[in-house]
Amino acid sequence: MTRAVPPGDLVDVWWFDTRAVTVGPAGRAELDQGERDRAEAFLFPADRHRYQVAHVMLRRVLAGYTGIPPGTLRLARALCPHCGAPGKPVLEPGAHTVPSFSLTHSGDQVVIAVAGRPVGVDVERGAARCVCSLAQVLHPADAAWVAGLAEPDRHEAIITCWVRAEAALKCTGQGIGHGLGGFPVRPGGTAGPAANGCAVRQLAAPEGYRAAVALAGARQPVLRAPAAARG
Amino acid sequence: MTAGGTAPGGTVTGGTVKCVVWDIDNTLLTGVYLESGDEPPGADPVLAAVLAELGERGILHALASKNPPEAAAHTARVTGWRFAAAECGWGRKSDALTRIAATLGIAVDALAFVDDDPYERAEVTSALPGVLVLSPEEAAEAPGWPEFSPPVITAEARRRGEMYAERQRRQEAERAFGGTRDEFLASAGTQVTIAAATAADAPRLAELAARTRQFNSAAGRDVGAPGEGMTQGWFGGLLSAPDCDVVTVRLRDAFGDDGVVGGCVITRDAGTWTVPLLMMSCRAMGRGVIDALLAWLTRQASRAGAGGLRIPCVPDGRNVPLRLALAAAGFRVAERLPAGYERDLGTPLPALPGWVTAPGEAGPAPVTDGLRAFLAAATGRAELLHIPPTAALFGPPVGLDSLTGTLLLREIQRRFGVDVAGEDLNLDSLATLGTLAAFVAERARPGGGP
Repeated sequence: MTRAVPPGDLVDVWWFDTRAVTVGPAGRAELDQGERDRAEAFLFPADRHRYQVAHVMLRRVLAGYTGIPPGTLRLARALCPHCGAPGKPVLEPGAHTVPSFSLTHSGDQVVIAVAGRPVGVDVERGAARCVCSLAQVLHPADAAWVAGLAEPDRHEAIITCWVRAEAALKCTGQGIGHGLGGFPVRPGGTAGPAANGCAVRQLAAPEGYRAAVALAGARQPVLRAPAAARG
Repeated sequence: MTAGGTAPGGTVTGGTVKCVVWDIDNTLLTGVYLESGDEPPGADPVLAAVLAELGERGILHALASKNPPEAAAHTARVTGWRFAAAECGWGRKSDALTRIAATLGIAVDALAFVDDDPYERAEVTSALPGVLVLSPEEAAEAPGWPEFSPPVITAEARRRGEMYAERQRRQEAERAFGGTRDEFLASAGTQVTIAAATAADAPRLAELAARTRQFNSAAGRDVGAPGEGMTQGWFGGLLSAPDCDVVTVRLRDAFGDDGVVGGCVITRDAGTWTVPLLMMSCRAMGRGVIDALLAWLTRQASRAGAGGLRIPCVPDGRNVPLRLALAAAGFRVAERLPAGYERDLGTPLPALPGWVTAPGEAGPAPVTDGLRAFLAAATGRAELLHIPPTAALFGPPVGLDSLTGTLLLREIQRRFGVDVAGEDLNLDSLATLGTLAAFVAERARPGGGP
C-alpha cells in the first residue's frame, strides 16, 4: 500500500541519522549507475557514506509514495529557472503520482521533505568556527538583524537565515550560485510569500543543526509527521 | 629450486620473499577455470590459508596465469584476497614475473613463484634463476621457511598489500595526468615529512635496513660494530649516542599513507657530516622522497657550516638506483677510500619542494595549504588537510556543501583581498583548490584585503 502524498499545505519531513544506517550491497543495488559512479568518486569515506545513505533513503521514501520499487524509480534534474542549468532532482513523470520532494544533508543528518506542491528543505550543521563572514551574502535586512546580535547568537542566527534562504531557493530549483540574499528570510520578518514565492518554516533539528522547509505559495507549511518519519 | 642466490660480487641476496606469484589452475583453484563450465572451481583451502598467513607477514601476492582476466577476478573472489598484481595471458610466465616485479617496484629475485605445472616451474627457473620456485605442495609448507619469515613485522608491513593497491590507483592517476612528475606529486597532495627518529621508530628502521636493497647505501652489510647487526637495539642505541642523529622519512598523499618509508643515520666528526646509512623503501621510488632527503641533508649540512657531506656507499649490483639518485643530487664519487659520495656544500643549495616538512626548514605555506587548513578548521574535519589541488570541491570527490564553499570564498576575500563571488563566477567554475589558488595568485593585492 502506498503512502498518500501530503495534500494541501501538509509536508512530510523524514530525518535519517547516517551513523545509524548501514548501506549494504542491496542498498547500493537500488542506486542507478550515475549515483553509484558519484558515490565511488568521493575521496573521503564519510562523504561517500552520507551520499549513499541520502540517495538510498530518498529512493526508499519515494518508493513508499509511488509504489514503484526504489531501484526502478527514474530521477532526473529540473533546469534552474534562472540560468537553465540542470539543478534540482525530480522524479520523471510516469503513470504514478509524482510527489514534490527535496533532499538535504549535512554532518550526520539527512533530511527529505515530500509535498504535493514544490517544496525545498535544507539542513546545516553549525560550522566549527566563526561564520560571521556569511552575513555578507544574506539579504541586507537579514544582515542588519544578525549584526545586532552578539556572538555566538549571531552565528546561530546566520545559520538560521542560511537554511531558510537555501530551502526557499531549493523550492523553486534556483541554483544557490545566483545568490542567497535576494529576499529576506529572518524568522518573524516579512510575513507571506516574500521569500522567493515560498512560505518558510523552521524545523526542529538535532543539537548543533539548523533546518528549514519551504513550500511554494503564501500559506505556511504544516508538518504531517509520518509515523515512521524518524529513520 | 633455488633459495635466493649469489650475486656476481659475492653478496648474499637471499633475503626474504616480498611477493609470491601464484598460478591459478590446479594451484589456487581446485580445478581448471576454463574447463569448468558455469561453475568455476573454488579455492584450494590449504593455499588460501597460506595466502592469509603470508599476507599477515607483509608478503604480497600476485597472479600469473594462462587464462582470461576474468580468472583473476574469480580467484580474488573465491580466495577473498586482493592481489597486488595480476598477469593473465598466454605468454611466458617468466615474462609475467618480470612485469609483476616492475609493476610492484621490487627486484625480480624478491619473488617466489608457485605453479603445479613442472614445465612452467622449469621455464621460470631457467629464465630467472634468482626466483624461488615452488610446487603447490612446497608452498603449503612455505610459512615455516625462513625465506617467508621476515625478521620484523611492523604496522607498515601488515598494510603492505593495501599500500600496493593504493600504488596502483596512484599510478593510474599519474598516467592520466598531463603534467610533469613534480606537478603530479603536488596535485596528489604528496607530503614528505623528515623528522628525528624516536624509540618507537626503531623496529621500522631495522626492517628497512633488512629489506631495502635498491636504495640502501650499506648494500646489506652491517655498518655498526662487527657482529652487532642493524637491529632494533642498534638503532635504539644510536638515538642516545652523542654527535649522532637518526631521522625518519614519512610519506603520504591523497591515495594513502605509506608511513615511514626511509631513514638515515648522520654522524658529525670534526665538522664533517657523514651518513653511514641511508635507506628508502623502493615503494617510495618516483615520489620525490630520496631527492627530498638528499636536498635536506645538503641544506642542513651547509647551514650548519659543515666542512663536507659524505655518504659512504657500498656499490653492489642492486643499489644502482640509489647511486643514480646521489649523482642526480650533485653528489660525486669521493677520491679517497672507502668508496663514498661527497657533496660540495659551496654550490647553490638545492631547493626543497613545498610539500616537504623537515627540521630546520620553514616550509613555505602555499595558498592551497592555507585553504586546506581553513576548510579543515571550519568543518572540524582533519582529513580535508589532504584534499588534492585538482579534486573538484563542489561535488565528488570532495563534495563541500554550499555553506562551506561560501565560507571558503569569504575567507579568500578576507585573506587575499580577492572577491571571487564579485567576479560573477559561480562555484563550479572555481572547482578546485588549484584553480582557486591560481585565481588568487593572479589578482591578489599586496597586503591582502580589509
